[in-house]
Amino acid sequence: MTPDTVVRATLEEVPGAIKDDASRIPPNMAAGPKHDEPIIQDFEQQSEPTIGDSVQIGSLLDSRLRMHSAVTISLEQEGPWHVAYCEDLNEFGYGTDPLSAVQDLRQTLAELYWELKSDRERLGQDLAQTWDRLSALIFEA
Amino acid sequence: MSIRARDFDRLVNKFGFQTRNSGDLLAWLEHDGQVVVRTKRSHIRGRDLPFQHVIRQQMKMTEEELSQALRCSLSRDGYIALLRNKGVL
Repeated sequence: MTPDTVVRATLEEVPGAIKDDASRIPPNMAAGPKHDEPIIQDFEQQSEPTIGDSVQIGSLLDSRLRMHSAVTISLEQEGPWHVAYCEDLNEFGYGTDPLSAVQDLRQTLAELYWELKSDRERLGQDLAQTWDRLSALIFEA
Repeated sequence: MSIRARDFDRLVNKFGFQTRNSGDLLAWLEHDGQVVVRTKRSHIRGRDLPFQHVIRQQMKMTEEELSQALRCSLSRDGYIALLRNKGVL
């Protein structure tokens, strides 16, 4: 797997109509291929990610949510656990293999989005910054 | 320093985190009406939690502070003071 591989369920999940909001995305999150670039591998068809890979996820495990741009994650192993880590958001997913770790992170980011959204009026400054980054990255379909 | 599920649970209970079961156990701390810290742990029992250094970071603690907390020498008030000193509150 190449570092710029995008982990994405389907190309259709990330429409190319959100360019107006691109400036809201922090530079370190905007490094990945944009959703209007024709490079997307189908998540179900690509080879399974392996430890040491740096991959990008361009969709979440929530059909209500879309991503403006892919976010880079790293894959690591700790003992029996495979971990997918998103440094930009300081969030991780884990599983018994790399693919399940990535899936868990995709689920985690979706849950984080809904939780912070529901509490956004009363977030402390640190979590408010996380919400700013997350809401710049993710939008509701 | 290693953290297992029971250590995590003891810690978040002592510090007054609220918790909710999802795919993981989600934990968040509210102070003065604001949600100030959020973390999670897996439901893995009897083994070290994966990626616990990120859990520690999410709780805004150094290794030494976490060690103190697990030794029961850091109370909720102490933790709140710690968060305040770090500018989290």
